[in-house]
Amino acid sequence: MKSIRYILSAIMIAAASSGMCAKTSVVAKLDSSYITMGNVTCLTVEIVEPDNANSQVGFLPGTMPSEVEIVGEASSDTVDLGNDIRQITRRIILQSFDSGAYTLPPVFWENAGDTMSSNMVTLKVNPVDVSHLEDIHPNADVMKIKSKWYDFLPDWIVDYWQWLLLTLVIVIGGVCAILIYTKRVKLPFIPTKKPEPPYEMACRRLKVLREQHFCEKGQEREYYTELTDILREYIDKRFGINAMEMTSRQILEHLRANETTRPSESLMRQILEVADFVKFAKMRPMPEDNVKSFNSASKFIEDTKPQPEEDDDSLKDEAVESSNSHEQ
Amino acid sequence: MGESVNIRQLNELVASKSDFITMITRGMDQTIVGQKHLVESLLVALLANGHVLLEGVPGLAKTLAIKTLAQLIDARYSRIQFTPDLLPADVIGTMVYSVQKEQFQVKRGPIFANFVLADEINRAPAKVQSALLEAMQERQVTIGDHTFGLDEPFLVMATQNPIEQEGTYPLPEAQVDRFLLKVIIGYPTREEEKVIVRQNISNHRAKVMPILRPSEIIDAQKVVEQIYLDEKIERYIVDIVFATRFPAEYGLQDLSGIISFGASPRASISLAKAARAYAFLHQRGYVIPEDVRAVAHDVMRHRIGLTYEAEANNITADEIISDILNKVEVP
Repeated sequence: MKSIRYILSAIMIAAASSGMCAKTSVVAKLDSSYITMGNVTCLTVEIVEPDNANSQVGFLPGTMPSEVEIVGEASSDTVDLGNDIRQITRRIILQSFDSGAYTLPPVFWENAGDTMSSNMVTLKVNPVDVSHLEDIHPNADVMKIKSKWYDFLPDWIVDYWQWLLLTLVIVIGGVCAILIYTKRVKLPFIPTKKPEPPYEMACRRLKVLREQHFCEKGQEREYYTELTDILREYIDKRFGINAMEMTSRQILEHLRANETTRPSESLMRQILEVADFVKFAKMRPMPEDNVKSFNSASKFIEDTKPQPEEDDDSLKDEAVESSNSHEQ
Repeated sequence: MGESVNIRQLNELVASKSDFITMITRGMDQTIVGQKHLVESLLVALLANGHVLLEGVPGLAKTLAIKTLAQLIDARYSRIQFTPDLLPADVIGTMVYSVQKEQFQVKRGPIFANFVLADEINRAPAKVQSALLEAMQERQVTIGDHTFGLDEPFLVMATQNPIEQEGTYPLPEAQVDRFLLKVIIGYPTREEEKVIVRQNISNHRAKVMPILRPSEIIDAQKVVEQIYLDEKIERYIVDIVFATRFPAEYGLQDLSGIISFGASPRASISLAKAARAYAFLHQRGYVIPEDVRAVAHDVMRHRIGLTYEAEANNITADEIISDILNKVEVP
């Protein structure tokens, strides 16, 4: 009785294992059975197995022909087929450099002692068509490379020349701006017209005014307007007193406060008083007033013109000498 | 020197009609210590037939100044203390019922005077301010069905206290513009204050006697209107006013961001009128740039709007006007 029970158990286990095997399959196929030497092809292995299988797949060692190389493995896909079955697709890349027909060994599947092998496939490697031996090609000459100027520069300059140029421009621009701002340099490429000295300009304009003969034409207002404008501009440029924006009284106050102009302030007073009458009160001055005003203007400009530099130097020398004598 | 007949006559006329200036100034000096600018501004406004807005802390002889001026001219003077509960009728007058005559009669308000002191004008609500300012402008008031012309000369001196702003009704720009001058007065000097103390504790105050009649002021006002204003001066005035509107055109780019609105054409008119009056004060029959500059601050300081940026940086209208005067070319 007991032996009958063992026999029944063995039969049930065998039946169960055969059921598992019925669910499992391993199929191998080549993407292309013909390849040219050096080319690659893909061996696709499709394994159908239970979901819970912990299988291992591969070639048996030493079975792969030495002329065929396994380069690597491409993507691997797993698809759930339902009923606790899955399909694993593995793609093995093969390459060969020797012509001939090679039978690839079966792919073995192993899971918990169960094994299964795939079908065997044949790979045909065709030789490459090479030149005939009679076509003899001489060795090629050494080519002369046409060198550009930038070939002699270091690579880092060639690679980053835009950034280097930008940095250079910014640095040069900054330095120029600082120098120009601090007036240390004058831009040589911008033509600068030397400004006419105030004294020369005033003399020239007085001469022009005299030649215009405004008073003889009865245009005393224009005459005095121009005369005072000449003097105000002269005072502005010569002494830095913005006389163009000042009234007569303010101009006279500033002239009184200035050491150089103080002695000549009375000349200006005479001119400005007459000018105010003529310009703002429609008064017509006597001819002698016009002449007197012109002469006063000329004298004021002469009296207050800048002294020659020699005189300044000599004055400085005198001052230094006197200070030295005081120190002694 | 030869001269055109008109100016000669005008100069003579000014000389003959401006004698009283010295007397008034002397009379004011006997009562008011210091505050020369206030006295001069009052005379400018009086001669130009305008009104004065005065800003200064209490106790700077504002009331005394206008009262003394009224006494010197033998003119009617009234003072209105502006308060929040003041009504327009309290200023211009109203109709009251007379039991004896059994009819409504007009009761004239304090505005019927030659010199009116509107004290602390910004304490009264807008309707009272408007009533006063309208009367100032029109020089007449209507009570009931009757329209009454105001006395001539007519000068309103309104005061504002710059310190207390709580519970006040600031005058709108449009109404401030109606004042010919806005004068800001400061504290007296140390020496002046000593004299003020001495005068007040000794009770020795000079009695103010009338030295001229209101009609003479009216004559003087007519002469002021004739004072010659050359085209060059007109251009100078317009340049100054335009510089407040378009500062960048006059090389004042810095002011563009701090002026919210420039002076109105009324500022140009007022500047010309005040400059004429100033020339008259200095016994001249024609206006020179000096006259324009002398009155420019008082005429324009209340006609320029400042931006928030200017106020945040404590930039005043006076500083802006000074900048403009220093930049606009004098003819």
